[in-house]
This record gives sequence, structure tokens and C-alpha cells, in this order.
Amino acid sequence: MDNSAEKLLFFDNRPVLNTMPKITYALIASLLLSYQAVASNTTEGPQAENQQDESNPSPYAVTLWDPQNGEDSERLWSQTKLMFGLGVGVAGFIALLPPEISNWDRSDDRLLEKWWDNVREGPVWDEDNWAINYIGHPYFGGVYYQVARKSGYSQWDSFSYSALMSTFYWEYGLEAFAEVPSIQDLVVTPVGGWIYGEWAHQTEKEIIADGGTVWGSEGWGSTALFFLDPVDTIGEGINSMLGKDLIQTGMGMISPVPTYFDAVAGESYSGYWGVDMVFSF
Amino acid sequence: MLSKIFQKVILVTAMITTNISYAEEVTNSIIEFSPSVGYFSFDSKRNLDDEVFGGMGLGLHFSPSFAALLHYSTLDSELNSTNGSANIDIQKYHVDGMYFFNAESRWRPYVVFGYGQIDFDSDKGNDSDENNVNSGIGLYYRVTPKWSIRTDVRNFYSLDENYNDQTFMMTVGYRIGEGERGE
Repeated sequence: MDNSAEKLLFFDNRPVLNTMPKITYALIASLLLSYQAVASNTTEGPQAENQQDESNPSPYAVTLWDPQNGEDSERLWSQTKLMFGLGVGVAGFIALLPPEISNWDRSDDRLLEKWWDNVREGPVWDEDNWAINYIGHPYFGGVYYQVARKSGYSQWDSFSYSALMSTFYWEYGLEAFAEVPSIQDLVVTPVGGWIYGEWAHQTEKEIIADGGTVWGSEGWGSTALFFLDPVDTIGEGINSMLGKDLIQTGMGMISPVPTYFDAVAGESYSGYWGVDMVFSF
Repeated sequence: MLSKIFQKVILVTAMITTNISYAEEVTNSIIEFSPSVGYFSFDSKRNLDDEVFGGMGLGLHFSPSFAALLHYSTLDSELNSTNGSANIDIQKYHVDGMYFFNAESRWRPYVVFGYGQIDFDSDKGNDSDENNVNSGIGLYYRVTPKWSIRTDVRNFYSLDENYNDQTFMMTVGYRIGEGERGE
């Protein structure tokens, strides 16, 4: 069939204007400005102006860098460094592997160029498997969220931390070396992580408040606690066995791709799921 | 005796303080899932059949007046041209900001502005995508603190091709947690 009609109508072959990134950034900026306006105007009524002082900050104020209520910022910073260290370590390890194993272009120029190209091209709507987008990413978001939440931060602070980590550490950081940042991931990871992370956090607290039991059973209780936070549970178990706090913090991640090795050319990650556990001593 | 009264005063004060701080804390009840159905009317110059679409949204209601959502929808259409026809799979997604008037009431007129992209996949092998901006007006009805219904009409302007498409969309909003508290 002659496709000229389609081309004329809307399948024009001329390059589509690449306005998405610029306008996306503009939109994000405008949303942030709107959010700031909302954040500074959430208390309504005639006394609102007087109430928006330092003693009554907006509920949308982010206090990650300025803990106000005894949050454990040292724990947060420790786990953040752990995640960054893990990411850089893994990237460095892969970079040292022979290209036929890692599939990475070892040229420094090419690597940075690829990252920059991906950053400039995105964000795009990705076509990943739905389970990765809507189960895997919220789980990752929940991991980030719990790092802050378990350090004593509020839900909003923990969501903000999760959004910052998933955006700049992952989408525009490590993952941008491999692929273009994804629109869904930028939204679904922190928002889904907020839902899952808060649920896991509250459920864990309830079980502990019930003496570590579920349905009156310690077996179900310890099983549930393990699956809600396997890394903390293992860490606490080791500390308990040794009688001292050998393990300071722990972190767990479920990964749709191998963390410590890459597929040899011709192989695929189809069907792969892995669990990474990292302990800080 | 004085000590017991003092303890009770502290207890009551703590309860009030806890309630105040709880009421002020932002919780995940600001998150909304919003399945939707609508009707997509294409610019006549596209020669595409108008079709019904289904979609899903995810976003945050920062306040009763303002929300920001990511919306995705999909539909199938048919291209009818003098050279034949083609089946077209269409996906559209956009980030929208919504401003609600009369926000303390159950009925809330609103305006919406957004930016996004629409992808066309033809069974003849020609694929294309366009960036677009959208704007529209609608009416929101709060059914319960967790559930709401809204409907809007919008115009999507293609930044790449200068087409104007229109949609009519009905959305069910579901807020998790306690939803809109205190109302």
C-alpha cells in the first residue's frame, strides 16, 4: 500500500521536534513553583499570615537537611552513602570487566557521552515489562522511603527523599548510563514507594507492638517481619547472636538485572530477578 | 494529688498536641488513583475515526485546590484515506496540573493544564509521536473523602503538527488512606 497519505496526514517523516525534554523541565519547574505556592499557603483563614511563622512551618516543608524533631540524620546519611558507594562500586566493577562480558563501551568518552545523550533525550514513556514498572519500581521507591522513615522522618520528608534518590541517584544517575530516563519511573517509583513503604513501616510497627506476633503466633510474626525488612531482621539476628552491635545498618534491594555481572553478548535478562543485601559494619 | 492532676494535664496536652501534629502532617492520603474513560475526537485533518478510550492516572492532591497528576490512556483507531486504511494503536500520556475552585464544597469547577505526548503505531509500519499541550475545564464532585467523580473537556494542541484534538473524559478518583480528611 502507498503510505504517502499517512505521511501527509500525520506520519510525516521529518524529525519530530524534540521539545519534550525542555517543556518537561519547564513543567516540572512550574509544578515545583505551584507546589511552593501551595506549601506556603496551606493554612487558610484570616490568621493564616500570622500562623506561617517559623514555629508553625508548612506541612510541605522538607527538613531532610535540617532535622527539627530528633530525626536520626546520621543514620540517613550513613545509608545514603551506602547506596551511593554500592552504585559506584558496582559501576566500577562492571567497567573493569572485559567489554565482551560487560557489554559496556570502555571508552571514557563514549560512556559519558552515552549518559549525556540519554539525559538529553529523556524523559520518555518506556515500554518495560509492567511488573518492572509497577511492582519493581514501587518496591525500590519503598526501599528509599524506608531509609528515611526508619530514621524518624515524616511521611513527606521520606517521600521527598525517595523522590530525590529515585530521580537523581537512579533515573538520571546510574540508569542513565544504560537507558533514557522514564516518565513512569519518575512518578511511579516515589509515589508507589510512598504507599508500599508506609504500609510496610506501619505493619512492622504493629507486629513489634504485638510482641512480634501475628495471629498470636511468633512464627508468623517473625516470618512477616523477615519479609517486610529482611536485611534489618538478619542484621538484628546477627547482632543478637554475637551479643554486640556489629552490623550498624543494612539495606536490601530486589533487582530485575544482575548487580554484580552483566550478560554476555547474546544473553538476555529475561526472567531474571535477584535480591541484593548490603550490610554496613 | 497535685502530681496526678499534673499528669492528667500533661496527658491531655500531649493528646491535643499529637492530634494537632497529626492533622498537620502530610500523609499518603494525598495520593490518588484515577481510572477514566473518555471520547477522543481527532482533528478532521488527521482522517482518523473518533474513538472511546480508557485510561489511568496517578497523582497528588497537594491541597483541596491543587493537584498534579500523570495520566495515561490508550485507544485504537482507523485511518481512512484515499489510499486505503490502516489500524492505528494510540497511546497518550500527559502531566496535568488541576486547579479547583470552590474547594470546600462537594461541587468544584476546575481548570486543567497539561503537557504530554501522543504516540501513533500503524499496522502498516509507520509510527509517529507528537508533543502536545492540553487545557480544559471540568467539574469535580466529592462523593466521600476517598471517592470522587470528575468530568472535563479538553483541547490537545499538537506542538509538532498544529492539530487540535478534543477529549471528553470521565474520571473516578480514589484517594488512599483517609482521603480528604476533616471534611
